[in-house]
Parts: sequence; C-alpha cells; structure tokens
Amino acid sequence: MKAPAVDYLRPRTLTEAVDLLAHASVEARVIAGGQSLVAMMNLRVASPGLLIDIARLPELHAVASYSDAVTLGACVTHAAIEDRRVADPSRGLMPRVASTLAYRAIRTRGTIGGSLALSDPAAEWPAVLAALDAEVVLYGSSGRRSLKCTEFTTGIFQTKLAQNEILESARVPKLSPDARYGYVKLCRKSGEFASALAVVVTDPRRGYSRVVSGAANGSPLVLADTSRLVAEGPRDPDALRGTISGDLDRASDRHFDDFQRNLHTVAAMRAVQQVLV
Amino acid sequence: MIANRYIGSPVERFEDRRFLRGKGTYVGDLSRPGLLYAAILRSPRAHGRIRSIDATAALALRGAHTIITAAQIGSQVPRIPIRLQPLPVLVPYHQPVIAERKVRYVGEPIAVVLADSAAIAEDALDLIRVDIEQLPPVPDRHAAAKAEALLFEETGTNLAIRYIAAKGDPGRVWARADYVRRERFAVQRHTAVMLEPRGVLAEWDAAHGRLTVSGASKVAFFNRRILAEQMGLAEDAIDMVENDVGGGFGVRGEFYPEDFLIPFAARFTGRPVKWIEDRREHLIAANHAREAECELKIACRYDGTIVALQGDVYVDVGAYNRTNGMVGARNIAQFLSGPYRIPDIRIEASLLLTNKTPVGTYRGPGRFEADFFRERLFDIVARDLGIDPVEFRRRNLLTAAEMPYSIATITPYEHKDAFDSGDYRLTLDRCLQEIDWAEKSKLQGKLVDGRYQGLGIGCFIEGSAAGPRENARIELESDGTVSIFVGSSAVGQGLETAFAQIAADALEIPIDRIRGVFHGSTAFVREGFGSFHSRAVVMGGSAILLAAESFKQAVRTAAARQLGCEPGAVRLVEGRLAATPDGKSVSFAELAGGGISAEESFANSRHAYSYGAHAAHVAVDPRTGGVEVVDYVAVEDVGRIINPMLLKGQMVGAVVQGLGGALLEHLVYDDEGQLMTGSLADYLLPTASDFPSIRAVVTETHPSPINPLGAKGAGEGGVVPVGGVIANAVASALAPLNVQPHELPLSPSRIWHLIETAHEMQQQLRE
Repeated sequence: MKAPAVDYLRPRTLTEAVDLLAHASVEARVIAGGQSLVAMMNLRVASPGLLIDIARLPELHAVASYSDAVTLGACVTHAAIEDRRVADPSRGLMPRVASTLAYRAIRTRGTIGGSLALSDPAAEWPAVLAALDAEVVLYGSSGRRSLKCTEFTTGIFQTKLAQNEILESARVPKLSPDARYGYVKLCRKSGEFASALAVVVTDPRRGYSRVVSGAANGSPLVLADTSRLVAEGPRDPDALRGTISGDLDRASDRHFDDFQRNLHTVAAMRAVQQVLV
Repeated sequence: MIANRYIGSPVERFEDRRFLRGKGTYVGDLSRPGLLYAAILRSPRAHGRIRSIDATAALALRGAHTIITAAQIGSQVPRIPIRLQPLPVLVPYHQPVIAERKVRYVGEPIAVVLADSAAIAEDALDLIRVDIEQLPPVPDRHAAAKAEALLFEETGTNLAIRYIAAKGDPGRVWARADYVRRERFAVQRHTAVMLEPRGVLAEWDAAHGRLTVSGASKVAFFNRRILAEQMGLAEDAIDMVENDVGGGFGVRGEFYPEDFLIPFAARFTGRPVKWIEDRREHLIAANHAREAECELKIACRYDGTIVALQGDVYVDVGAYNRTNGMVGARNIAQFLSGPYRIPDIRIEASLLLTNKTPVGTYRGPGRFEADFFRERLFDIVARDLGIDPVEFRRRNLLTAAEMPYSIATITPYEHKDAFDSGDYRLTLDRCLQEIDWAEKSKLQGKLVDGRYQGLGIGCFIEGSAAGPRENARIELESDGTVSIFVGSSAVGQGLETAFAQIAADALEIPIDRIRGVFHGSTAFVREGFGSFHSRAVVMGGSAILLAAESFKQAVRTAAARQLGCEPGAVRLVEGRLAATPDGKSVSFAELAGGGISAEESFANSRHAYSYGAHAAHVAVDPRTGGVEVVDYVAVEDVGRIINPMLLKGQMVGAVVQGLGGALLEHLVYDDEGQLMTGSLADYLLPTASDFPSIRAVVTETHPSPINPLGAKGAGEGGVVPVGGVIANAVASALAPLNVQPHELPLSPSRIWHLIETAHEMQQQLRE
C-alpha cells in the first residue's frame, strides 16, 4: 500500500492554485487534509499525476461571522469545529457532528471543504450542511459562484465542482435562539461511516424546517413531507413514521433494502424526536 | 514447588521499558545496505489456470530489479508441509510456495518483484501481465460437497479429511432418551488482525553459505527445518531471528509462502530482501479461521442431565491445508463437549476445500466455534426443559472428584486426552457472583429506555502445554548477573517478564540480577518449540525451573572448589555471593570466569486445561438491531498465576477479540470467490471505545499436576466462550420476541431480520 509517484506543488495563493489546476497537463487533484485522498492513493484506486496542496492557504482558513451567517474556510478542520475554535453558526450542532466523525486523529487533519468536495455518500458534512441550508462558495478561473449544498452534491462522490474550481468556503446560516436540531448517526462501531444518518433543523423564527437523510445511497436526501410536518410539531409517532416512509418510498432511485429503509426511518424518527419538547 | 517471591505478583513488564521509549525493534524497522524490497503479485482470480506471465514491462521499470515466478524457482516448486498432526492423506493439499499451473484463491502468490523501494515494487506489480483462464469457483462448502468443480482434479474430491471424535456409544441412547433436540449453528469466517502485519528480512552470506532470516516468530525452529529442506541447506546454516512483534494470535509465525519466497529471493539475487505485509494483503494472505457449521443432536434426562451429544460439523478450510489448518476443525470435534460430563459422544467433522484463503489457527482455534454451538444449544435445551440455564450447567459441569476426566478420542490420529484438574463449578459460581447474576437476571427481557436487557453465561476449557518439550539455558555473566535463554517465543504476551519472575524465584535471586531473557531466535538454544497452544509459560517456565536447579548446583560445585568445602555446604546469598557456614565467600562475578551454564529440557506428553466462565449483560435495540455490551465478566482458573497483571491484560484483550468475532468481524466472499471485506473500512475491528466494560478475574484453586509450576495456559481462554455468551445474552434480551440466534456475527441487520421473522411467524400463528 504505497502510493504511486506523484508530483507535488504547494501554491502560495488560491489564484495560483486554481491556475495550476486549470493548466495541469496531467490529472491534478487538490489535497488538503488528505484523509481520504491519501488512503485512496495508497490503495491505488486514485493515481493523480499532480497534487496541489492547499492546506496552508490562508484564505482557506478564514472564518467570518456576519449578521445572518458564518463562512468557514474550506481548510477548517473537523477538530477545530469540534473544539469550537471557530465561530459556530449552528448553536452546537456542528461541534456535535464533528465529534462523531471518524477518529480524532483523522479529525485533526481532515477538513470540512474536503468532506464536501469528495461527497462520500456516508459522510456527515454533506447531509448536515444540506440540513442547515448552507451554501458552498466555489472559486475558479472564471471567478466565484455559490451553490446551495442541496444542489452541490449530485450523487455518490459526485458534485458540481468543475475541474478548474476549488471549494473555497461554506456559508452556513446562523440559527436563531429558538432553533432546535436533531442528529442521529447509526453505525456499527465508533469511528465508522454511518449506516444511516438523520439531521433535523427547525427554526420557527426564520420559518425554516428541514429533515435530511444521509448515507442514503446517493446525495443527501431531503425528506420534504417530513420537513413540513416537523414545522407543525408532530405529536403522533405513527403519523410521523408514515410520513417518513412516504418520503423514503418516493426516493425509489436509492434502492434501499428492507433493513436500510428501517434504519433510515428509525434515524429520522429519533432525530425528529430530539427537536420535539 | 518453589517459594513465591515474584511469582504471583503484578511485576511491571520489562518489555515496556523499550516499547514506551520507542525502542522496540520490529522487522519493519530493520534495514541493510543494498536492501531490495519485495512486493508480491497475488492472484486476482479465485480459481484458474495460469496461461502466461509477462513481466517485460515490469522489468523495464527503473528501479525494478528482478521478478521471480515458479519458473525461476526450479522444476520442483516446494510445498509447505503440515506442522501439527500431518497425515499422508493431506499431502495432495499442501500449498506450493508459489502458484504453478493453477491458482486456487484470490491472494495466492504468483510472482515476487524485487525493487529499490517498496513503492517501485508495487509500481512494477501493476505492469506484470498475467493471463489466467478462469475455472468455475468453489465459493462455499455446499459447492465443495457437490464437487462439480474440483480444486485438485487428481484426488477427485473437495473433502480433504473427516475427523471423528468419539466416546462411548451415543447410538444406543436416542430411542430411549427422555428428551432429544436437534439444532443447526454457524460461525462466520474471520481472523486475527494484528496491529503489526507480518514481515520477513532475509540475508544470504554466499561466502559462508549462511542464511539469516529476521521476522521469525511462534515456531522458529520448526520453520527453520522446513526452510532448510526447501532450500537444500543444513538446518544450522540458517539463523532465524525473532524481533519484537505487534501481536501473534496464532496467525503470525506459521510457515507461509513468503517465508520461503523472501529467503529464496535473497539467495537468488545475492542481496538482502525485505517484505512487509500490508493491511490489504494481510486480509487475503494470512490465515483465515473459524468458518464452521454444525448439525447437532443432544439427549437429556428430564432433570437436565446430559446423556449424549452427536452431530456433524462442516469446516470451510479454504484452498489448501496449511501448517495448522486442520486444528480448528479437529478441536471443534474434540471439545464440543467442553467442561461438561457427557458420557456418549460422536462428532464428525468434515474439512471442505473451497477457493478462499486457506485457514489456520486463530486464538482458541475450534474452541470459540464449539463453545458458541454448545452454549447456545444448552440455553435452548434448558428453556425447553424448564430448567434455569445456570442450574442446567451446574448439573453437568465436571467436579474435582472426576479428575482426570477422559474426553472424546480423535480419529484419525487416535488422539486420546484427559482434563488434568479442577472443579469447574467454582469458576461458574464466581462468575455469577462477580456480575451479580441474582440481581441482574431480574432484568432479562425487560425494556429499559427502549432497549431489551439480556444476560448470558457460558463455560469453557482452554487446552495448553503442548509437548513434546521445551529447553532453557541459564548462564552466569562476567559481572555476576545471569541470562536466561529459552526456546519459547514472544508474541506480545510479556514473556520476558514472566520468565524473569520464574527464574528469579527458582534461582532465589533478586529479579534485577537477571540481565535478560533471550527467546525465540534459533541461536539461543539447541532446539526450541515456540509459542502455540498456550504453551510458552507452562513449558518454557518449567524448563527454566529445571535449568535453575542445575545452575544452582553448578554454582555450588564451582564455589566449593574455590572455598574448599562440600558443594552441599555452600549457601547462595541474594544472587551475588556463594558462602560457607564459617563466613568464607566468593562472588558470582568471580565464579563467572569458570564459565558456568546449565541447560535443561522439560518434556511433557499431557495437556493442562484451564477453565472458567464468562457472563455478559447486553442491551439490544429492537429497532436498529444494535447490541451494547453493558457489562462483561471473565473468570478463569489457570492453576498458578505467574503475573496477574499480564494475565488480566491477556484476558481482556482476548474478550475484545471475541466480541469482534461475535458482533463485528466477517470475511465476506461473493459467489466468485472475491473477498468483499478487503480493508478495515469493511472488516470491522473492535476498538477500545466500543467495549469499555470488561472485567477479568483470575483464580488458582487447582494447580496442574503435570508440570512443576502447576501452571496452565492463559493466552487463549478469554476468547473461547465470548460468541456463545453474547448470543445467549441477546437471546435472553429478545426472549419476549421469540428470537433465537443460530449464527454469528450478531450484526444489526441479522438481529433485525431475526426480530422481523419472529414477528411475522407470530402474526401467522394468530391468524
């Protein structure tokens, strides 16, 4: 499990990094924490010709807090979020999620931008940021653009990130003091990827409510009817279960087996129950 | 028996002084000038005929040096013989050190690349073109039995051998038995995944015709004998060097293809060659274990007294019979009766060849499987008979008055065996007390915070002290300290510490007068037998006791000569002085000039059996199928405790491995014989945070009568009952839902499906 030989460059600015990416004559990959990419290279399932290391670019570590949102630079690590070393727009949801993500050793190097850019279907951030209605900011040769996380991830390891673009930051709306959230990760052992993931965010003051299933055989799955029901504060567990089932049934392209369907239902039920008082 | 001063104390591990300072030296740490790195091309197909191997492009790669295939090895590709209980009928199934015409499992070595770095060697692997004509795979034991495809066409069968374990005659029992029950159980394929994978570094000294092989472990002397024969060398032209290891568990240190290929490559190229197994490689190349199914029939009286046990066991042994590949199956057959009184037994174990990685021994081989079968069966039977499962066990456990107790004889090999000593009810009672069974059992089947609570119990025996003998030598060093040399090998169990304790007590010296305990390598003693079957401390420790007596005698004799008295009059003082009653003395350092050394051998043809009981409290989430181990207690009587800290550490570690086997670990193959769980992202290993509540309790009420230490093995018992105990706890938790697990691992999906099926059946009954 030794990676094949690869060229390595460490640009000094984001613009330089994008230039290198746009003009590379070989398959170029951006590397930040490397917690997925290096493993894939060692297993020789990825063999880029050029690595462009963005881990130390200051612009990608920037964290800015605005009245309605926080932007988190792509290279903010899971550990920085877990330890609350950066501003938290989510009133505790993101630190809680970060603490369940792989192992601490991975969290000290792995980055939020890397997780979003890779969009492993079982990863936490794509689902959680979709539930928070976050956007990603993409920086490329032709400038900046923003996309909702719900649109950014399009499938299993598939996103709208262009070959000449780098994910610069995530813009996460601030939750109001009335907001409530629920988060359930079901997995077989500590540190493992999720078998099922459910995130619920409801913020009545902003008229916002969303339920997302992760590890759902594709991009994060927004449970539309369940999201509406959560806004009403459902009291009847059977009705809630029925609504979740309906949402999962409509996602027939996910090809859940009986057990997966059950796990997603249970995860969503429990996450919703966390927001009900 | 010698006086205890260190034996029985939690002496801190000497090994830790180097490990905690980063001074441990593993084979991967070694380097040599001119070193070549090896990487091994492994078959991507489960079953096929090799049409051609084209290494042209690989050899053209800069930094790639040599490529070795069967063609380079010669007209006769050596085969790896069986170490434990070889039989002529198994010879056709011995593994060649490299694939010749056929490949029989994914991972079988086809070629060895030697290059300037490990990365270049792997680059070259990708450039070798192998053309394999695919043959129909034999993916499981059912396909093996059908024999539509054969792994070895020349034998006409995929059945390697059938063992029979017999005692009395169960045939006469069935017709008149009060109660008979039939059940079928299965354990999944899994294995040891050591922190440090395997590794070999070989150096060929052409001038002197000598070979040095580092990375030896477990059974260095036996492996040297095989290697010498395969390479046409005298045994004493080979030094096998043991290094620090990150775990053995039965899997490390057996003779694998690489144990020939790397030394061969060193001689072939005239340069030192190193190979370090990587994690993905380990999961397809190192021995697998435990895949077994059984169909059992038990007869009891209405009062719960067991009358007879009969059945068939089917073990999937993979593509070849490796050095110890038969042990698991024969152990299942012989030890299915466990620590219980069963007068009539007949178990037939069929070893079936499939296109999967060959199996070998993994900690508690066969016993883990057999305990799951038996302890699960007992809970089902006790429930049928309306007897408390604890009472059912107590009624049938062996007592001190019945020792020695003969167990079933294994045929072929006609192996007879008997338990040596113990009162098996004592550890059961202690275990119940430690977990507070009386109070906690009230929770069984109750829903607490949405999870069903369950308690499980199981009893076990652990075999140990395999012969034929072990050797130890004690030498007086020039500064008056002593060094201990022993044929046992270290696999992470704290051997140096345990042996220093035994030696210090036997020599009646302070432990700091022992300069070192040197073990494992072939240069230290004439002949050694290594570490397997929980034998290192029992056998090596007993040899040290004998050597210590001879050593003290030699010191007295030498001192008497200098002091002008009878040897019997010499008193040894604190490991420093030899003194006469009238006050004359000579120091050990002064005596050392005469070269004092004593070597002794301890021989043994019987086995020492540790025994015990485990209990678990689990909480089962019926909606997700998840199991939490709330509390776990392991109790074992080991005859004599050398070091309770080492012992408890081994027990807790073994329980965690057992929990991995019970709940997480599974080597899954598809119908084409491809391993689907080829990384640690898919093959789930337990970590410290998964099972935080495990307690180990050790007792020494019944010393073994078959060795001077009174000791019994302690390395494996902790893993043996775990599968049965956890499955019984899950069954107890889910009793209100009528769930009876028959298969491991108890994954969330399996438990959820069991609940669903039981639910559907109940609904059908209602309709």
